[in-house]
Amino acid sequence: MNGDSTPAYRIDRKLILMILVTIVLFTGGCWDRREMETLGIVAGFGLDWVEKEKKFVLTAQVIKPTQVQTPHGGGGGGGEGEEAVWVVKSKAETVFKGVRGFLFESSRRLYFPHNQIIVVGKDAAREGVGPLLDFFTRDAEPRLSEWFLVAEGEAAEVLQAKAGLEKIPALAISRLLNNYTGTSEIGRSNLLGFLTRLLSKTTAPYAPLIKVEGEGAELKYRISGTAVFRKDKYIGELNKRETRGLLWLLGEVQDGIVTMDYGGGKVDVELIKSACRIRPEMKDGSIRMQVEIRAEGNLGANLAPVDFSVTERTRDLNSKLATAIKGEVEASLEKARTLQADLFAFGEAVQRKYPKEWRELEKKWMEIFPQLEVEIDVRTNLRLLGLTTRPTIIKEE
Amino acid sequence: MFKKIWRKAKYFMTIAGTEQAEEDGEEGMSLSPVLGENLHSLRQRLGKSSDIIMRRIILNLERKVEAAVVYVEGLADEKVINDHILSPLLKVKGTGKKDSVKILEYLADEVITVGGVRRTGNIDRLVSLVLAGDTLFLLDGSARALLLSTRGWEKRALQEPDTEIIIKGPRIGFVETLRVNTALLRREIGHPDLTLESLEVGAKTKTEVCIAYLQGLTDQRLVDEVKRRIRRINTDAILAAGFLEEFIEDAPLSPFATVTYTERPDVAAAKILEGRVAIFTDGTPVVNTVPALFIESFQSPDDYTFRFYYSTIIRWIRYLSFALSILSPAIYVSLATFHQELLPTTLLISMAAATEGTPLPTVLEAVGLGLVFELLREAGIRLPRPIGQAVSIVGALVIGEAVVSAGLISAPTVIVVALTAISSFVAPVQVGVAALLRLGLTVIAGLLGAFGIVLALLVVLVHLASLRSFGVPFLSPVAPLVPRDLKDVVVRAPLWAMLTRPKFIGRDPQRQSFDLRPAPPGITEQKKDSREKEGDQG
Repeated sequence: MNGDSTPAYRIDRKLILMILVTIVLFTGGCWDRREMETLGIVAGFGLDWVEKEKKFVLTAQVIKPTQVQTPHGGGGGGGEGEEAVWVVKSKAETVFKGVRGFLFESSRRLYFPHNQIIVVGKDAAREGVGPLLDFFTRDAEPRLSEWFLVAEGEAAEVLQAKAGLEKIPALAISRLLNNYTGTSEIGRSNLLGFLTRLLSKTTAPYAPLIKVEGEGAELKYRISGTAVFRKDKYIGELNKRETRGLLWLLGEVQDGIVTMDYGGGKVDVELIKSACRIRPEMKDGSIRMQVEIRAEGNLGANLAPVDFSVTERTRDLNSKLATAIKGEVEASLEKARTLQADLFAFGEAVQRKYPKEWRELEKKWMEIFPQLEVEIDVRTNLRLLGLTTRPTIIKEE
Repeated sequence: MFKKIWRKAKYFMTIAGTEQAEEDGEEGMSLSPVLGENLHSLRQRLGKSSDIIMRRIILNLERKVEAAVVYVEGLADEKVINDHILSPLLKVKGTGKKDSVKILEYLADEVITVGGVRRTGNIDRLVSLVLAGDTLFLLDGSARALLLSTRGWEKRALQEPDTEIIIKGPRIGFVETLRVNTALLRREIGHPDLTLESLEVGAKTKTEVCIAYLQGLTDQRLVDEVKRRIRRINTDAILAAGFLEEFIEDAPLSPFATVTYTERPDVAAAKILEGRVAIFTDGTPVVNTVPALFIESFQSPDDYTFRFYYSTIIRWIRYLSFALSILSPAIYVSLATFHQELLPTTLLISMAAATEGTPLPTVLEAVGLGLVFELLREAGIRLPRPIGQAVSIVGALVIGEAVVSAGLISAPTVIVVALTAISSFVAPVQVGVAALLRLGLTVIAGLLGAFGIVLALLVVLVHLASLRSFGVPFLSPVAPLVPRDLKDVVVRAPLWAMLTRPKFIGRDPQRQSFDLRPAPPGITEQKKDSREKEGDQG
């Protein structure tokens, strides 16, 4: 029809291009499409080590969505009282193989991005958690924000235990750790924090210890202390008092109760906030750590027959509070010295201030650390006395 | 391939053009002095239509003179014809003139009491004016005739437009009659610079099209361009303003309209006052304005009558809801099928619980339900109002409730589609575009996830940025950025602070004087004083 065929040819090329693009979309697309009902959403994950077989035991707590939330007249079915999670196990020589091994039992592929906690059994922790954690750092699905915990016994037990209030136990543990500030006696550690300490040459990683109590279907868990690692191996633990000592030095104490004896009774101070500054000082080749802790608190409970509306007594209580805090910190330091674990990142503080000398110090830091002189300066500020100024218990005269 | 079709179309257009030219060639036929002949040729022209009235009368002057009145029943106002044409004519006793032509002049000047009187001898012109509602007066012996403006047909009463309801503004809308509409505009803009120019479009419909602009304020090149584009329309029918829109658009293949419309005289006036050109099409209660900017779809006359804080929030809600209306199903689909890790855990659990056991993939759910919504909407608009309501009730019950409880479609999909539906009504001008984009984005989100959404949005954005409406970038004043004009985009600035007109539209940038911000009298005085002092120093 038209004299020159060039424009028609050009149009054909355009058409072909359009068709190609469409084909690319329809064939290349969809490959990683996963409908929500095909996901086995993992809420909690446990890792144990079986020495006899030289194999890992993996335990996954998988959410059953319909049991968590039953929609009105939805197709889900299933009655009340059924568990909201399914705990499934897999055994393999490596973690990744074990993860795929779940597919022998599970109809849905496990989905890790919403995993809340990783629990490692104490035995596995003694052997070293490095090989266990490789999968969680290498694979794209798991997140580094999941909490890392050590079980007193087996990790599998923790994942089988029930939560008091939540339908999903792993979610309950995660929320429990989020609320650590109420006591400031839990040394929580997410995967990122744990790995950061693991990568450091001197700093010791830590993780909360979780203990399972009860029997059979009535298993319950509680946080019992803090596990201390050297490199990736479990070497000991801190009790709750020592844990708060650690948190003081890390500046992570926010809230919490300090109980003291005063005038023949007990007095509680509720902490509001704290800050900590660590300054290493080198003199004639020997290092001294200067620790400055600032804390503020309110009078929370007064079971002693003392009227704190008198300024001198408040001042007195204030100095007692400082002593109590110092005691906690010293307890923590003492434990760290015996475990030879630099939990407080003193080494990194030295490295920052004396980078040249650090090259020498680094090699023998494990010998230096237990002998390290630490000067603790605690300054506290007692602010409010609460709604009642006078004690409820009146000393009989 | 397209080019071939295009060429064919062009070919036919040229043929049509020549035919038109031949018709034009017949022009110039004039009246004869004999009344009978004239009436005969008129009858030939107008056919045997029953609505054409040819009333022969005899004038009792010095001698009896035959005359005739011709009009279209229904188009011409019969009361005017009776009272102001026939009755004075039949009462005339003498003119003192002999010559028919002079008698005609006498009648026109001293007898007929109608406002508009035109004289013509051209049959074509006279026929078309009779068909437009004028009354023709023919006198035996004269080769010229009088055309008396008696246009007056049944009109719809002025009422508030249903499509652009506002709360605090004038409650009046355009009607189907062009002259009423131009009168409404004159009532809004009293300045003599307001210019109305008429053009005729449509070979068969002979539709009168009128462009309105402010002489001096509007760029003359814009006016010329509008006229040029309207003149080149060579089609048989312009039945509504929408017909005209498609012929004068800048981007005829784009889903976005580069000509906007309004049904309100106050809106049309505001646009003209910014330097735009308004195009009235006879027979449609809608006025087009050009150049059209994307941002205009989000502006409502109420924005300028409510407090500016509130107006600013409302405007942002409109932007947001437009984004929601095109994006929400797509984002939902991509989150549900590709990026479950982006959802909060508890949300994922409840969504997974809701989709458990539904047979269709999420994409199909979203696309299908979206189409059902379009169907319901269409049914609701076309049906008579009482039935339309029944349709929406059935739709809401069947689609919303039964489908979910039967486990066919998951509840979140229904929620998302419902949200989309509501938000799509906030920018009514863009409803069509939104529906199209939504469908495309949802499908591509089902194929490629969020990556696909981003890609598709980029394509849309590039397209939008490439659009122009009568020389003005469609996305301005956002792209290209005109910081000054953001006063009516990012916020709705107080009226006393809106000092300038849009940069790309109109010639005179300053709208008002600078010190219009109300203040107590004392302060104003002081300020003025200090300003004057500064002025003295400067």
